[in-house]
Amino acid sequence: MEEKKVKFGDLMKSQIIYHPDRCVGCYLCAMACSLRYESMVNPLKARIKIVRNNNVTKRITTTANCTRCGHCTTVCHYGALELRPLN
Amino acid sequence: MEYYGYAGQVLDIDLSSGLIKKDALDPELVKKYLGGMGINARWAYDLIKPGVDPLGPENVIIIGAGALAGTMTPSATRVSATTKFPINGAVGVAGGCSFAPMLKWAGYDHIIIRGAADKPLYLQIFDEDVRLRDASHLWGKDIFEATESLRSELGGDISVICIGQAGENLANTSLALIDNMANLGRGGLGAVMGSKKLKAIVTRGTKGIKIADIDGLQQMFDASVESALKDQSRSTWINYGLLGIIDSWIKAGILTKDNRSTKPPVAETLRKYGRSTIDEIAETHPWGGLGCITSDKVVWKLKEGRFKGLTTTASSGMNPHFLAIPLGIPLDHAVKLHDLMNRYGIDEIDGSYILELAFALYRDGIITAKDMGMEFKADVDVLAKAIEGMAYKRGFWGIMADGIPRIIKEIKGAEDYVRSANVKGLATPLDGRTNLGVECFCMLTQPRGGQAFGLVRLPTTAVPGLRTEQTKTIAATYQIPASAQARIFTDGDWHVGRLSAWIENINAGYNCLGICYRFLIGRLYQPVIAAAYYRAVTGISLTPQEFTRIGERVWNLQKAANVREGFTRKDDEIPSSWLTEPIRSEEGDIYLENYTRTKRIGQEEAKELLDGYYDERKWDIAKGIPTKATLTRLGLADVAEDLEKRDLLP
Repeated sequence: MEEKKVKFGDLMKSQIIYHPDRCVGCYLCAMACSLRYESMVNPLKARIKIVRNNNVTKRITTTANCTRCGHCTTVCHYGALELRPLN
Repeated sequence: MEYYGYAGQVLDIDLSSGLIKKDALDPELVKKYLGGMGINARWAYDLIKPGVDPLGPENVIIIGAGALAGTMTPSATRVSATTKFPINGAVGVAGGCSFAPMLKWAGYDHIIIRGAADKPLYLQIFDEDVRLRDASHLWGKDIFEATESLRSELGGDISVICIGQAGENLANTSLALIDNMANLGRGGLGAVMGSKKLKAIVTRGTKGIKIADIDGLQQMFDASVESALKDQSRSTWINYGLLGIIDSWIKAGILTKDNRSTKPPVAETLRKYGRSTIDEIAETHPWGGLGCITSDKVVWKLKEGRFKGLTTTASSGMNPHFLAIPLGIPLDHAVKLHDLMNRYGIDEIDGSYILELAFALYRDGIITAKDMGMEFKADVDVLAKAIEGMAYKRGFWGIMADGIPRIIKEIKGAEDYVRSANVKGLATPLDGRTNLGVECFCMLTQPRGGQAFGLVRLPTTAVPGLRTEQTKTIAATYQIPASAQARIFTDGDWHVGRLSAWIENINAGYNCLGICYRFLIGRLYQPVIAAAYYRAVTGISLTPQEFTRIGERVWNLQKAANVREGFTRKDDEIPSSWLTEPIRSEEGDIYLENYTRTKRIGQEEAKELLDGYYDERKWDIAKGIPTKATLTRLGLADVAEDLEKRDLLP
């Protein structure tokens, strides 16, 4: 998997695709998000939410104030978060 | 004091009185011991008086989140649990994955748990809201049931340390699970919690952790990820966890059978238990602890056979193999039995060894079907009954559930049978005759007993075959000083005792920071990298040399606590049957040799390995304990004084 660098201009042309089946529950995405937007590592206050049940991730969602900055997609290296160009 | 990286608070819980105190984290402890295992060890020395009953109210459990846990430092996810373990009376640290970050986000670095409740409780830690809650509705439930009950009652975003029936019934082979997955505390942490009527510790944290240098941390994190993604082993590792190396373990004969006497035939064992069979019978899904950059734990789901649909967790991925290969049972049946051990909270390594031992004792008439309460055979239903008997400590299985020390004491003739596995009362996961690498040697010197503390980053000496040049590279990446390397590597070979001393120190350092050092994750770290993360996260100065020195300090402190408990050199010695008996295999007899297989290890050579280990540590060689000079050099003069007063110093 190549390292991903997100440029601001990409946002208008991209969407974030969630693959909960690939999520291992490490919460690094939420840690990174909270560090960027809350200036603290505080994943339960992040804009990305991981919903787990019976040791697997059931779904990944975002809060209303998620700006789709894509930072989480650069942090997840299990393939659970994909920044995909629109069209 | 304002902390970065640390939460800055310690919880002190008295279960006898119900009193809950919150104290500020002492910066002097931080400076000297960093956190996690380190600060735990200091309190353990001060609070666990020598000779206390591990299952009495005077024993203390200290839970420590590593200093970097929950800070986005890659794989800084570990929690340390320090207590006096009932299986052997040793004061030691158990390490587990996850929980620590959530505890930090709730606002706490450590929890000290004293006394004992008079009815079942669980400890709930939700940010400022810390309380002891009634657990009578959970008592008697297995770990999975109890944890799911807690999730239903309290909501999903929690992290849970929970015991099962084995802990409730004070089995010395009991442990706890973290989040239904990660093992914590073989040797009886489950029983210690059970003796305190503490069913679970539950935390949810929304306060977060501040970082001193956010940009610096992000840059280092990106570099670590880049390095991790380039690792060719990564894909196998995160898809299969430790199962990814099961084929190499089978070829190396690491899991033996017939009470550690025989290497199973390779081709047949690969066919029955190797990766291709795993893929046929099960789906495996990776699981990572909070903050893990390279997950290696696994959720198993059986897709065929009698137990089709069974889903269970495996903290070391290959846990079912510890049952399947020694007992010679189908792999899916082993998954079922492993699931039971998970639920009851029985340590897999001791538990599987005990069943294997039971077969040997039964075969030779040392114990009978009447003793065991069953016609004992390698059948999943019979073994399930045996495991249930261990969890509830019924009759014969109650003796077995308390592990090797009690088995030796109460079953006449059993002592000869455990000679190939017994180190300080714990069954070793590895056998040195297969290969005497660092991982194996460290099981001898681990104060807690035969436990895998000395893991070396990949390529690891847990499997045979590394060239000495590769081992030299390992030593270099661990930044072992040149002067020590000159002592370790001589005459084209290397001294496993001397190298193990350094690996223990550095791994202790990682444990203080909460950084996992399992095989693949270990590749991302060296002391210089760990120290750099520490500086970026906390803003506190730390050099790589200081990091290793603190690891050495913590190791000595932990050892000193065990000197007070009466442990000496004899407790570190190689299991006697390794020296005299081979493992039988289709390739011929396998005797105990050095790692490079250039010489046999007999009594004299074994003595020399231990001498070298103690010498490297600057301990007294005859007694195998720290000297006053070494303790003083490490800033533990008060510990030296205490040992001297007790007439325990050489």
